Amino acid sequence: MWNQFRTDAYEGMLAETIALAGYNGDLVNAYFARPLGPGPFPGIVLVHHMPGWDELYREIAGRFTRHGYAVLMPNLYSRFGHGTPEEVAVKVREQRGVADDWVIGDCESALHHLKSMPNSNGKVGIIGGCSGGRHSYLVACRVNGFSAAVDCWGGNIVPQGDLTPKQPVAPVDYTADLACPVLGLFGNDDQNPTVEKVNVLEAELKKHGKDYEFYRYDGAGHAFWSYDRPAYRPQQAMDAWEKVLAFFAKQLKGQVV
Amino acid sequence: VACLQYVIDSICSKLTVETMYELIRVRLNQGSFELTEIIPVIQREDRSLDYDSAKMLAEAACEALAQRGDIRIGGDSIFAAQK
Repeated sequence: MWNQFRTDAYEGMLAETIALAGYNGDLVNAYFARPLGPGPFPGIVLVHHMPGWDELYREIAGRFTRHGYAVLMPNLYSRFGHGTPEEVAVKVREQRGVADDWVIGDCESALHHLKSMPNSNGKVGIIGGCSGGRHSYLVACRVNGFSAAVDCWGGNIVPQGDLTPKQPVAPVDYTADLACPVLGLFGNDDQNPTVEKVNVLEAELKKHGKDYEFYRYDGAGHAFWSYDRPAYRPQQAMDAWEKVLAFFAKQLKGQVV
Repeated sequence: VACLQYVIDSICSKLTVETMYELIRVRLNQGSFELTEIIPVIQREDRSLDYDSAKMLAEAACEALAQRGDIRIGGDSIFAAQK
């Protein structure tokens, strides 16, 4: 999957910021990266992590697009104003994060936008890391129409702290409603989610007979594919990338990898 | 350490346990200090953190260092351990 392109193949992509009507009709900005050409292309809703709608996640969008996916990443922090990603993250943290309902609405809008593209193949997945992993799982449970979901080290899917007015229900409690296959990637040194919480989530998926694959990495903790921070673990990260690309190829492109 | 790592992972800070310890050690080299004094230092290291998140990190790091016997906590003040 990685590094398997043909050196004589045409490749082009367009990446831009667009406006998207999200939850409650609110206009939110979104990063939209898509391959050039007639397609048909599958889509991915990319959910950014807690530190924001940042450069790392734009680069992740570009990586997926180079592998043939139209990627739409709504700025879940749009309602808090604008600035550098870190400046906006401070405001979001001060107000105890984003409401789950906003995230669900914004991601559902992104799903419909991707499916409405004339070169869509009709299949859309969702993926996110950290809080975005939690959001991906939550949205996949609450919104119909996704063909695949990836949870990368999503904290508090199985709660480790208190529920809040903005996050009133633990995503694990929606597991019965999950309607697409799930891939989960976790570092065994992560403290949120811990190995024990991942076990609880896996047991819940098993109990409801859901289609899932979990991979757990030794020597890795939270956010181990974030190459802009010390948590980065290149060997585990690249293996995880292979798992994600294979999973999406199977679920969104119908390829057996 | 588990508690400090839990806070780091829960708020998705780019700081590490070792970085947090180092920030406190460096500040202690200038003498004892109030917990609130280290908070802006932490916020400068991870500019995505609000005051409360940085305070949680400071508290967890100081507790971990105190448990190891590296520092003493007296009220809101942090002192070097007497060896």
